[in-house]
Amino acid sequence: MKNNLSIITITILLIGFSACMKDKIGESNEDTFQYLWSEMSENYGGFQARNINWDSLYTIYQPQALNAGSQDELWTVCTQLLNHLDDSHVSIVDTKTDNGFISGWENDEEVAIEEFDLALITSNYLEADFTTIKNSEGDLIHGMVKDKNIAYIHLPHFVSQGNEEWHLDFDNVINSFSETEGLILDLRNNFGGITAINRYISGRFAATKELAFYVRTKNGVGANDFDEPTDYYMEPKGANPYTKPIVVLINKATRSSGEEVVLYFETQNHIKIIGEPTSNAFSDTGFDRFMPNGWKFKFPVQYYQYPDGSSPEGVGIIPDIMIKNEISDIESRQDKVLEEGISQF
Amino acid sequence: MKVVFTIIILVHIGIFQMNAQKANIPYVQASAIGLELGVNQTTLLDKSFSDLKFGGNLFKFGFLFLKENNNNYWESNLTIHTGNINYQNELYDSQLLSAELKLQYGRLIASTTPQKYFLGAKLRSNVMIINHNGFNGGSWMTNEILDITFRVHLLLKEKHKLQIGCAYPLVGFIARPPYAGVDKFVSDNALMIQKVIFGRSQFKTGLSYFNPVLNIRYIKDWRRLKLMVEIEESYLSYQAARNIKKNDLSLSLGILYNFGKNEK
Repeated sequence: MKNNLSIITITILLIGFSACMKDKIGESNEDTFQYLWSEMSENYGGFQARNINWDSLYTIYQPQALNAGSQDELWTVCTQLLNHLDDSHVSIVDTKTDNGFISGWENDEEVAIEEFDLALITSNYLEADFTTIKNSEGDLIHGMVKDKNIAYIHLPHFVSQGNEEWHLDFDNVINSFSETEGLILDLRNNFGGITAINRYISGRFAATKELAFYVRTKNGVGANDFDEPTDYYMEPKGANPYTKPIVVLINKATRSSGEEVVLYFETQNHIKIIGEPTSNAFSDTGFDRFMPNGWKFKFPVQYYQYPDGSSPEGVGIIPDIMIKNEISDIESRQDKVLEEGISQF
Repeated sequence: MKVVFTIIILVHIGIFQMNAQKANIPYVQASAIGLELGVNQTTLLDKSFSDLKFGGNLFKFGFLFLKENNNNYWESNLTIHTGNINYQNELYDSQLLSAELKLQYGRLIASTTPQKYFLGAKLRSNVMIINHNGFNGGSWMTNEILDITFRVHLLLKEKHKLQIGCAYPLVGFIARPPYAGVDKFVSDNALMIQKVIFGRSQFKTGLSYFNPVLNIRYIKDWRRLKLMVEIEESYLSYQAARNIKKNDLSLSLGILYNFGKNEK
């Protein structure tokens, strides 16, 4: 009898533990806005660089959220809040409608994407025997500029995994250009990817070892709760790094790992950066945060700084030569940014 | 709640001890090896993954080895749980995969026909991974734990047995995601998932890794076959960079092959 009672007692206690797990997020407009604002407040790494007063934005948008008469209205309020950050790593998705929003994307990166045309480049600016490396995330192109001893490489991303590990063959690509007088590395519309890949690639263009930037990651809810800074160096990698004159082309749609690799290139004297300022979305994002109403959002949790303490966040990487295409240039079959890059040799 | 539960466990162990008498054991089982299949109802509040409570029914599959003689028992299990978990709105479908290897030993400390009482230890190594939408959301936990175990073997009638056991962690090494889900270590080793998941284990004791387990097992023996029906309840609460609470209630059916020398 005692044993039976013991078993029953323990069983009830253990099963009862499952009741100790309770969601702490409600479904009201107030709860939804509060969770979004609080999670960002405690964990977003980019407020300082962007000079954002997140508390003052709460006083502006929280009443609007309370008064929103529908989920659509609440969505508008929340996306307007997030848009102040102008950070394309900040995003929110309504999983019920598949409606998505990226902070700062509209009229910015979205337009820049249209001001680049790879087909125009391969048909008008490259020799016909250029090489295409097929990739499910976007094809890579390399070849020779027409009538010039200048190599051209377009990297649309830094996603290299599974059975598409193009980075493992990159040394052969560089070696094939060993007799050229210079190289154009086109990172326009590079949407990023795996940071380990961009760090692998960057060293293939390094002549000297230089401190490029350092990164701190949020490790607590306080505004200044970041871990110790981690230094990242540009340093030669691979058997034969390419160290002849290089022009790197960037635009507003160069983002994430696509921007981080340019931070490495900025340290090298033989590399010139041409184009328009990048997206300014450097940091790694944390995992999706889920809300009861079917919305999920994610945001960066790091803070990038140059060795002198300044930050490219909130601004993007400023090129050595500022030039951008207009859509009308592309329509008239001209890539002014690439032409400027070619003229540097 | 944790302190109360711990006290209750210790009191019940004491009650069993006080009631025990040493006696000759008329029945002994040799060795058995087999498979088990079952279902695990899991409920999870993993702050590294989400502030919402997720749950689901996981498929359970395992291999077992059992060995018992007059004075002790050995057990070895490899168990896999896999399945989908979701929030109550069913919009955040995610996959949970868990694999655990356990080695157990129990020593007879007392007996009074038809009961035998065993005190022992269990060494387990576990990995749990949660994946939402290609790791846009996710979490993990790996652990290597040494538990203290207590088990009662009850002979109901010839060839029908009941085993009731409980376990609690003493010490172990636990690895969880960093606070933000990503940091330099995760970023630099993004292409080596095993290093990310198993790296940076922290030493913890049962004071901070709260994970009691209760297990009730019915066994029916034939000459060469053993049928096993098992219910196991496990509750976990652990505070790392982010807190995790997990409750697992599993029901499984095992078929084993008896072999080895029977002793009497």
